[in-house]
Amino acid sequence: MGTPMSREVKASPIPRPLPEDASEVSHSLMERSPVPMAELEGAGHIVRYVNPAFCQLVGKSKQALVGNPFAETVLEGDGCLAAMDRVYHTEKTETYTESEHPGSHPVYWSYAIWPVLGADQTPVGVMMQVTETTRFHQPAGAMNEALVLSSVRQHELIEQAEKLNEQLQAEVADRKAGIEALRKSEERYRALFDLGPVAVYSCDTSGVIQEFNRRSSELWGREPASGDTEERFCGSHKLFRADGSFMPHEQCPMAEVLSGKISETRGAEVLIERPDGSRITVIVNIRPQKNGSGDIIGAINCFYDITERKQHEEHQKMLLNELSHRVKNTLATVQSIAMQTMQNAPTIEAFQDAFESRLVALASTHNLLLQNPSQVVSLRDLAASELSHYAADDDTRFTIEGDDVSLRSERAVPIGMMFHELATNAAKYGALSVLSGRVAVSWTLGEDAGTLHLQWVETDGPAVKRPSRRGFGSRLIERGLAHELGANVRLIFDPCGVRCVMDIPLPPVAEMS
Amino acid sequence: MTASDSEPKITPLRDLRILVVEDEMMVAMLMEDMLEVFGCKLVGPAASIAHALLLISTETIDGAMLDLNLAGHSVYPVADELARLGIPFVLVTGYGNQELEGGYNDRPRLPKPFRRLDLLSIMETTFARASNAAQ
Repeated sequence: MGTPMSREVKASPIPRPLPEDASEVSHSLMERSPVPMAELEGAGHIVRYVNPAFCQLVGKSKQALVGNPFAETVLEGDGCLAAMDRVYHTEKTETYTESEHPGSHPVYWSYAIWPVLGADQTPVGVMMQVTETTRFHQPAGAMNEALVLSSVRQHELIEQAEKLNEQLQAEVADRKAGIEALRKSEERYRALFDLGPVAVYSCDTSGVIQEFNRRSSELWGREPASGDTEERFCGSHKLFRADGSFMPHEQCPMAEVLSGKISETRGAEVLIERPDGSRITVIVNIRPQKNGSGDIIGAINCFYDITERKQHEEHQKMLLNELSHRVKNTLATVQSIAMQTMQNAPTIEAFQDAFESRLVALASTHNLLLQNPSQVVSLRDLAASELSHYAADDDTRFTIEGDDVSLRSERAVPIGMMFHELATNAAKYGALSVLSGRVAVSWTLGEDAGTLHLQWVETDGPAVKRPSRRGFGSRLIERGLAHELGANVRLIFDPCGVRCVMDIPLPPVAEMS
Repeated sequence: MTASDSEPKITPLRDLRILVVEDEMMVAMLMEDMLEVFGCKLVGPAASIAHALLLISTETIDGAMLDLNLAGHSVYPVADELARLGIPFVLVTGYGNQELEGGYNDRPRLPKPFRRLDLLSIMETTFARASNAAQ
């Protein structure tokens, strides 16, 4: 729009004033322009003309503006003056936009500046046209601002996201470490659970077995199906109370703890019968598991086998009973020996001698029995032991001949006493009372090894007279042995020497008649 | 010193036929001697359950002295048979006052070793009915 005017302006050379006629025409055009315009002269940008739109824009009258340097009157900023200088010197048209920030919203001004040439085609001034372009800038600005804001926001969000991510990573690592620690801990407890010597199992509140370890199934002798609702409270085949009475599963300690009938079980003794019929004794400890509000949600049972201890206790009790039985029987035996010795002794001294030697004989048989852990004694040792009281070991007056035979206590004691009575009699009245006498002890085992044929034969001693009355020794040998051992015994007072011939059954004598 | 002891005395047990079940030879002989002094007639002694049951089935018996342990076997089968026949008996034992099976806790019990007077006393108490019947 300024092009025709520019051509007109170019016609006026500097420093001469712009040609009046051309100016008049162009000025009259500019007068009615709604666009603010100004014409500036020379390098100092002296205002020569402003239109009413310009005056309105800057809020000053034409008189106040014309003739003054543009920089003094309508200072718009360095950017605008610099642009005018460039246009004046380069003769190239420029547009320039600048913004003001009077309030919250910026106002944009666009300047179009072009040169005014004189007749000699040299610049004499510049023309300026000002347009408010805020309208165009506003959406862009808002958009720009929004972009900046969103960019900032995006940056913030990214930062936040990164922080969160770091936190998350740390938490994940923590969680992983926690899970690993838990897994290790579980592995440890699982090993303890599986390998421990204590049987452990758990039930839910209805008694259904949830978990059980290896030891449990070993002690039960079977493996219940985990979670089987048909089988409750205990995985055992059958249960019995300590007194041996049958205990239905629904009455077992686990059932009573789950029902809340008892708060817990500690050290209860229960008998388990396995499917193969064998029974074991276990000690049961049960504790209920409760939720936050105290309701029973299940229970854990830890139990262990004390069968061996029980058997040991029983064995010990049996041994003590046996000891008591033997001691009392021995005392009664001593009492019997004393009474019978007394009945047959002519004097107190004779009683003392006989009683003492009988006690010693009894004791030496017990000694022989105790030397052997299995409490048996060899028949040879038994005979030698009794004869040794009356003859030295190298004494050739007696011989002992026979197979190896071991005797248990109940046979060794009476046979030992028999040897004692025979040897005592031989030393007093028979073959051992003289140097020329002989005693031959010999035995053989019957074909089935069930009978011991035992002989005591005295020779070369003084002539034997049948005793006038039956003494302790005769009674013990003839009746006692026959009684206790079920033996067939013949005691023969042959004038050539005493003989005793016995057939003694060797199997257990208790059932013999 | 022996003559007077071995003389049978007049006692409420005189002529009672007493079964002795005892596996220990010397204890059986002791019991035998004491019963002789009391004037009893000895049946046995039996050292085994089988022998004891045989004697019960073949002999007349007024009462019995039973050793609880016969070479490791319990004398209960003999006690059961005597109880079934209503024949009184005394359990002779080397054990303490342990619990006995089969309701035998209430039966008279004589611990070993025993005094003659204790034997006499428990026999008189236990066999009194039989004793009265015999006189």
